[in-house]
Amino acid sequence: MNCHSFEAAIDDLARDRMMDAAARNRALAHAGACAQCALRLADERALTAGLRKMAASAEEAPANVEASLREAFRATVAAPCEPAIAERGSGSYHWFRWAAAAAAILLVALIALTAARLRNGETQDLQKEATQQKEEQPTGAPGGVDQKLKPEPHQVAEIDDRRQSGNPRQSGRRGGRRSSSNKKTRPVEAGDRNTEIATEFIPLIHGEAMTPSDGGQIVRVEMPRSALVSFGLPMNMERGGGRVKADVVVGNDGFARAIRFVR
Amino acid sequence: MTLPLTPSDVDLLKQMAGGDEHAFTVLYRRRQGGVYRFALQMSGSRGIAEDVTQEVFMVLIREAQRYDPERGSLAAYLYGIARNHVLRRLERDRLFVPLADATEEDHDSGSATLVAEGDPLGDLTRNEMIDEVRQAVLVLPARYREVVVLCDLHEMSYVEAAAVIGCAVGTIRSRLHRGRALLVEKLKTAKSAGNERLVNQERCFA
Repeated sequence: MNCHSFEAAIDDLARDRMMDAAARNRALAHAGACAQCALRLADERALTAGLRKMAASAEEAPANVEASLREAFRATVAAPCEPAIAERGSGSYHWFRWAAAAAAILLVALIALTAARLRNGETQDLQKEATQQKEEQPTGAPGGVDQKLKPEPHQVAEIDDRRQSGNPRQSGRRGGRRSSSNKKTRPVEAGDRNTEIATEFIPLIHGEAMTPSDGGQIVRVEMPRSALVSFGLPMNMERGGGRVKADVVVGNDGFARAIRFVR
Repeated sequence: MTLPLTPSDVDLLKQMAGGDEHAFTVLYRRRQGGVYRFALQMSGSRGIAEDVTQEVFMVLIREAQRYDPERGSLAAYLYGIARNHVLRRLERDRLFVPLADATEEDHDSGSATLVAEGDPLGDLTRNEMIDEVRQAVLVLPARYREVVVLCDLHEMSYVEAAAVIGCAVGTIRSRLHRGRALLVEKLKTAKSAGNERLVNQERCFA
């Protein structure tokens, strides 16, 4: 045996572990012949002695640990579906937090989905109403409407007072506008103060078609009447100094997406 | 329910799972010392050792059915849980004190606490040197420390230690050898720092 192979056997030798008797004898013989390996073995044995003295200490967990654990055990047995929570430490209860967080996220997503569906439903209702009214509307709009501003019949959409009130759901229910009989018997009248005539939305960005169902917010603004020309619409020059109402669709990113002019 | 004179851990666990508090108490008193000392020797903190002991047995209370006797003894299972909790706590508390393989750091302040007057290795049998050894163990890298603690302080076999740590037996052997060598080196360095005695490193490889 040389020092290299002695090194491989020194742990078992110094720790008095079970090992092959022949190998043990060879290692001991080498230690007897090699002063360095003898010193190394002495160091290892001294270390083993120190470690064993250290291991001899019979320290145990304090009694309060046992008491709290027994209490937790009783609680667990009494309510097996509800895990008992120990007084000390909380590392094992992370999954409770994760479950709570996941449930909260799920709830928020559900609410958002429901709100989005409601919003889409109202928009579709508006479009349906506009379509129905378009069919019912006489070919010539009654007087009082600026004929040059008046769009083609297929471009006419009704903006009822629900949107202006800022509480479409409430006013929709209150007004009972969804009843089919009401829709059919109520013609669109330009002189009706609750009815507005609007052009179709004119896209402001790269010619994208933009409808109220695309999301975002509609902001009512007033603009110089001369702005009609900027969008290719005819303008009554005699009233060029006046102002005209418009609805601007502002996307979720804050950019204006489309505009329609309202009377 | 009456227990046999020396019920096995598995028997106690089964009775405990059935709601027998006495079985739990017997099992706890049988195994808590080892778990507590392991956590204490790994962390050097009694507070951590108490927390870890409590966590280990709380896991046993809540999930006793997770223990699989075919994968090892219940003691090894408990040590494994304790090891995970200790390492997590040490990582969280940033109590790791790296011990580089190179001996350069050994001459730094980190070894100052290990310096003992006289001949440390020759005086290891003295009680006052136990703290020196404890400190030397605590500054070992965790991968060596846990093997030294399990094999030398808890006298586990290589196979049992491998089951606790979840690695190969050969890995345990090599880590134990390296860990012990680091301990010896640490104490010898302290000794040489004390009396500036040079250690002849020449070895015969004849």
